[in-house]
Amino acid sequence: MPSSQKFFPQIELCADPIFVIGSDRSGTTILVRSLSQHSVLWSSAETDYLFHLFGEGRASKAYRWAIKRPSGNWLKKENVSKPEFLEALGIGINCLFTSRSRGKRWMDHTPGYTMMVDILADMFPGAYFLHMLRDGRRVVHSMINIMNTFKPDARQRMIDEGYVPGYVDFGTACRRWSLFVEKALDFELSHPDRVKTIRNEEITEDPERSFREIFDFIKVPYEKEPDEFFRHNRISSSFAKPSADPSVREKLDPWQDWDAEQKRTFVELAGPTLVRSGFAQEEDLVLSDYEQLVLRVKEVASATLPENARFAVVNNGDLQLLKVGSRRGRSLPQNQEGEYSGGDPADTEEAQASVQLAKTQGTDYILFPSTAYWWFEHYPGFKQYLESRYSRLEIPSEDCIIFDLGNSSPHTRVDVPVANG
Amino acid sequence: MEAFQNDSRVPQTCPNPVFVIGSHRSGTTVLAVALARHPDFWTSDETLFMPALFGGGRVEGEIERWTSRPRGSWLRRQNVSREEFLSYLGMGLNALFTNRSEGKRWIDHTPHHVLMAEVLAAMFPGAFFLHLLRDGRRVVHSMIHFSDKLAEDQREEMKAGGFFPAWVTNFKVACQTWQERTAAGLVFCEKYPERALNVRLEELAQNPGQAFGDVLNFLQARPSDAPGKYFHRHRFNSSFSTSVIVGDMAAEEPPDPWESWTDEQKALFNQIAGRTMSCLESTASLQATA
Repeated sequence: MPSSQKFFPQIELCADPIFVIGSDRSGTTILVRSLSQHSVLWSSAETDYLFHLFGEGRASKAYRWAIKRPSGNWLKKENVSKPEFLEALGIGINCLFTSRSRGKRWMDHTPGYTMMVDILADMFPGAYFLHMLRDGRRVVHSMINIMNTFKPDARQRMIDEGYVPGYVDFGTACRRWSLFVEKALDFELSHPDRVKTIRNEEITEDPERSFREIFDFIKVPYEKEPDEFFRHNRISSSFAKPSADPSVREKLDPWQDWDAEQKRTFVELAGPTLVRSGFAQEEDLVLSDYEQLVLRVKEVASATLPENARFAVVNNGDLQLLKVGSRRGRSLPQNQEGEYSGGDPADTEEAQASVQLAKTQGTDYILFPSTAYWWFEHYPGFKQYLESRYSRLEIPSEDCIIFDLGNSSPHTRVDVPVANG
Repeated sequence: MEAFQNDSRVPQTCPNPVFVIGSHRSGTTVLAVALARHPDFWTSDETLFMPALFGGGRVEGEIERWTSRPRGSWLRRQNVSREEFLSYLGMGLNALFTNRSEGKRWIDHTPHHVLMAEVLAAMFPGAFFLHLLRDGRRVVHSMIHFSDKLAEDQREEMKAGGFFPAWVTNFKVACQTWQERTAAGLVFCEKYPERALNVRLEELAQNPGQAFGDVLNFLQARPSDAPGKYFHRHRFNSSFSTSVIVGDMAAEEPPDPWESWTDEQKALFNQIAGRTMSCLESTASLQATA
């Protein structure tokens, strides 16, 4: 005899659950864990499954497909609207959550649900949404360092089993933050009575004030435990333990540490969202003259130098000029180990010696960005020295000069597309 | 204070709905409609959204993924089994059906559901299933003549919406469709003998009173002769008529579609569906093929 009473002897439904949404690495977990300290609120792990079952347009598509059938159509015959259909899908899920929250008001904090927030709003018509918003530059920095949160064996298992999040890639991280924030802000505009945006930076600065505002919005009385928990805990940070490697330490202002290419990528993919969300003005995101020069020089090098070429660049130690695709760059002048020597040549003789050393260490090309043209003035005869021995690549750019150390025939013409400065 | 607003809209659900499953063109609609003549039952049109959302092994695959991921999951932490999860998933839809059936025991008769009966059994833990069986030769014959009764504009509308089944124009696909769905239904009935019953359309047609009595008994419904009487007088959705025909259903069917098929069609049917037909103990005329 089949039974329908096995799992729900006494069904309860929470009328006003709460979804904490927002981009990954924005602080959704710490917010919901803090809120869970309130006597009437409850949460558990991230769920995810609603996204995989109903997200990415699946629920809408199923409804649209089923209702357009010309004949024999249950939804049409029974006059079931899409919101009613979605609410029916949500009822069972709500009861499942409620069965576990034991009478408390349940909260979910799956970041991916941001992208299906409009579907959730219909599935759970009484639900509130708290949008955790954090400066996209910090979020991206946290995303690309996410693997630091795992112990080495767990990290390896994630790599082996294909569970590494796509957003460890810088561009993907920028796109994801922007996409999530834009979606949540749009949703807030259309549902101001159901969505409240909480800024990570503000709640960090004054937890009590922020929690009071949140409690007021979700209509529960103030209790002090959530903001105390928030003050004293840090959860799921990509930088929970100080790392010996300075490159993976949390940056208070990661923007200052990003290279020009990262900044350009962020501005292109997430800049408008950063401005819209009030974390920056457009002028804050303009790259400096030097950064723009770096980008142009790298474009020239990328278009001019062969794949896997070895080149040295007069870079004053700036590592970003060494990364040009598969080409292997080194600083000039360099020491015997091939590292940046830490200073400029004392005279022409030293400048020439630095070129010779680079050549004996296997360097194919030497690149002078315009910031290093002073070498040709400051070291008398240095330019003539180079031009008499090595061919200078003719490139339609005033941003850099490149010499081919392995070719004695002068002036090989190479046409290079160059971005406007 | 109350932790949350305990919602007065906690839905009413039907504890023991009925799913009529089977191959297309097997008579699932007429069986459901006849049963709905019983005062305790209710039915409407076919639903298509559950296969789209939960069919094709999708929901099972997702459950597997959630329970095996290395960082854990809500379902695992809250000790939610597959059966429990699916039963909650079905509860809201049950409430939607029950809302429309106005408290009556609802019947769904979407043929596609035969391929996801296992999932439905878990989503609706109190549900019964009637697997309608019909001679595969008649089903295939009905499938390939399905569009005969459609007006040109209806046909075009179905094609444009992606609702025009491949089995209408492809004999081989018709054979495969009947075989796949019938085999799935038979396996399901064998696995859930207390919840699923094989019902032969030919037996319903031959002796509706007796056959519906058996069906109602299986469904633990009170006796009623209304379904049998209704079935005797009506034929729905036939490929050989343009409207509902009143009369003896068995007499209206072509006497033996097998005789009208080419040798090539017969061989193809045997190759694809012969074994399943054998399971139905209807193999007599199969030997007639060259």
